[in-house]
Amino acid sequence: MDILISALRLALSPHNIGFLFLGCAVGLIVGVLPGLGPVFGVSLFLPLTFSLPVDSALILLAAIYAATAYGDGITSILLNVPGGPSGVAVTFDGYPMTQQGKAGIALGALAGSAFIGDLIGILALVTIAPMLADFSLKLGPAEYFMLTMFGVSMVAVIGRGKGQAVKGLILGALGLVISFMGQDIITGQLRFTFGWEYLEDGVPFVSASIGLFALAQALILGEEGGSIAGESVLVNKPWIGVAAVIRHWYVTVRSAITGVFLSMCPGIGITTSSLLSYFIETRLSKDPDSYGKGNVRGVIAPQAASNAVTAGELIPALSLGIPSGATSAIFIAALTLHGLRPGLEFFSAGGVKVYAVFVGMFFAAITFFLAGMFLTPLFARVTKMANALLVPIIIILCLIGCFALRNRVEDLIICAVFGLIGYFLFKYKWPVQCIVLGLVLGSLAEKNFHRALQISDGSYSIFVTKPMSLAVLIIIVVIIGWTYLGDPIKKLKAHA
Amino acid sequence: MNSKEKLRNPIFLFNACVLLAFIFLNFIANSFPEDARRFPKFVLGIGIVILVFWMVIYFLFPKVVQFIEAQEEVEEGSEGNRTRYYWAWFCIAVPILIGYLFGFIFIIPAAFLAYGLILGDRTKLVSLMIIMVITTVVFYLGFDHLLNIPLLKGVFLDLG
Repeated sequence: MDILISALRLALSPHNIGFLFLGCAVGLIVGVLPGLGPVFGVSLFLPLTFSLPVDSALILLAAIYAATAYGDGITSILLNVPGGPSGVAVTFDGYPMTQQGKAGIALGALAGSAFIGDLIGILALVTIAPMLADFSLKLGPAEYFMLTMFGVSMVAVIGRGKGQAVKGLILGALGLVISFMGQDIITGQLRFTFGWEYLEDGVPFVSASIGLFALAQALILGEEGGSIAGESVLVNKPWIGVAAVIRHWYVTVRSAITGVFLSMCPGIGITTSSLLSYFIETRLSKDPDSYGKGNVRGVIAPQAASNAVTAGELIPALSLGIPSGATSAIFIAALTLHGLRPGLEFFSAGGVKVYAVFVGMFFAAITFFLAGMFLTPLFARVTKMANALLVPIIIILCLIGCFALRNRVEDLIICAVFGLIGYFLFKYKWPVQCIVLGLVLGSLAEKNFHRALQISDGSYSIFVTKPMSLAVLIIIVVIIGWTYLGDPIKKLKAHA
Repeated sequence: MNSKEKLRNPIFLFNACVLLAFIFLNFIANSFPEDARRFPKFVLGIGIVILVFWMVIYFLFPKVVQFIEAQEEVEEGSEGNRTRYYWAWFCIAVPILIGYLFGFIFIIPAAFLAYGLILGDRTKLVSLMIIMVITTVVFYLGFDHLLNIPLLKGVFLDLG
């Protein structure tokens, strides 16, 4: 108890409160910029923490991380432009809500679910961190491969949800094939680069997703004219969204727990976790057809998972010294720079400062939640802005987001190409998210596929002899079977 | 829908392009070492099977397509909308080109002027100019000076 009070005092010292507010402000700004996600925000401020005490440094970085994950969803809802890769899943239902004039409710749900997701993540970090991290270490490449295949199988679910099961599969395959471009991580072989040096690093996911969602959206808005919300009446009541989070508490908790679990698996990351949480929720829902059309649960699920990941990623990082993603790797770097060694003794060696960081993360969650609630009416007004003014701003933000990560003009070309593809897919109502899922999971699936085969000396039996891998495989078969055979069987019964 | 209309259907054309691309990539993948081609060929193979399956049922068994997939009617854009679409592309291309030649700072006024004059409400030129100037200053100072986010430098002007 004494250590908690001391941690509270330390976290709430004036300079730490200052860093907490700074972190939240920076996180929100970086979050709403298309393409710039948590990794960018945290890495941008890492050099600034060199001269800070370890508790202030970690509070600053943790606040940036959590606020960026929340901020990513804001433009996803308002403009159908993901603020970062983690905001992609929020667009599916957030933007349809905006088109119905319910941007305020969606933003309230976003803030509420981000807050609860963060709290559950922090709770897991403080209580069950060592135990869960130990379990995640028992997962081998075969299990990881099956988990990524589980993610890929979700393209069937998305497609089916939109009544376009085969199109979902085609786009999923296209996304996977695009992810193969560049240098093979196992053999070093250059694949599908066509002699273009730029493609050796692969197709950049950020530029591709900005093009698919943001640029395509800019084109559609430019073509339509008017404003996003049109004549619909704005409902600027974020507390209705927060009430929805409380009413659907099971969605929030389930998605946050999914996020915590997935965040501990190396390489899965915030984007995949939020996408998978969304698709799991559509699968478990009694009315899956309402998703993609402005279902508030479609905002709650991915955002709760995203923010749970921000704390969950620190579980293996702090307790075992193993980063499960780029952001947690930066956290480890920050700890090392300040003379702390992450690992099993970290909690005892760090003492009060470690718990001060957890308390700081808790207050960061409160800060961005309150900021979100107060700023929501202001944010929602953006949807009434004329598209002729909004579109140039979207384009400028897209260009900054694309260029800032790698400073390469070619990224802008990739963005434009994917913008054209995205426009076509949106126009013909194809499930565009399937291509993103394939793109995200492709390299992860292939890496673990090869590793598993290396372990088994090329025998494919490894995927069915490992109990966990077999269990996931059975789940995949059931999902695909249910997805493709369920509806035709129902229709046959109806005909009969 | 008769066969000619089916062939001109944009969805068919898109699928045909993807199928050709997959066959071509599958052919290229043969030259990779065994480990590097195994997974891509597996995915490409599945993709080709799905696409061929889709095309067969699309042409021969249209009722099966309806049975598997709920076909949504796509609203054809009006002539005015199509013109706005081409202008929208023009309004994206011009600022990028100007940015490439003269640097990021010129992208903002170029984008605002292009959209405002071509697709916007031309009666509100004064407010457009004010917003354009404010956005340019805020974005440039905010990104380049405050956040230190690297911005595109021009071929002719080394101004961020």
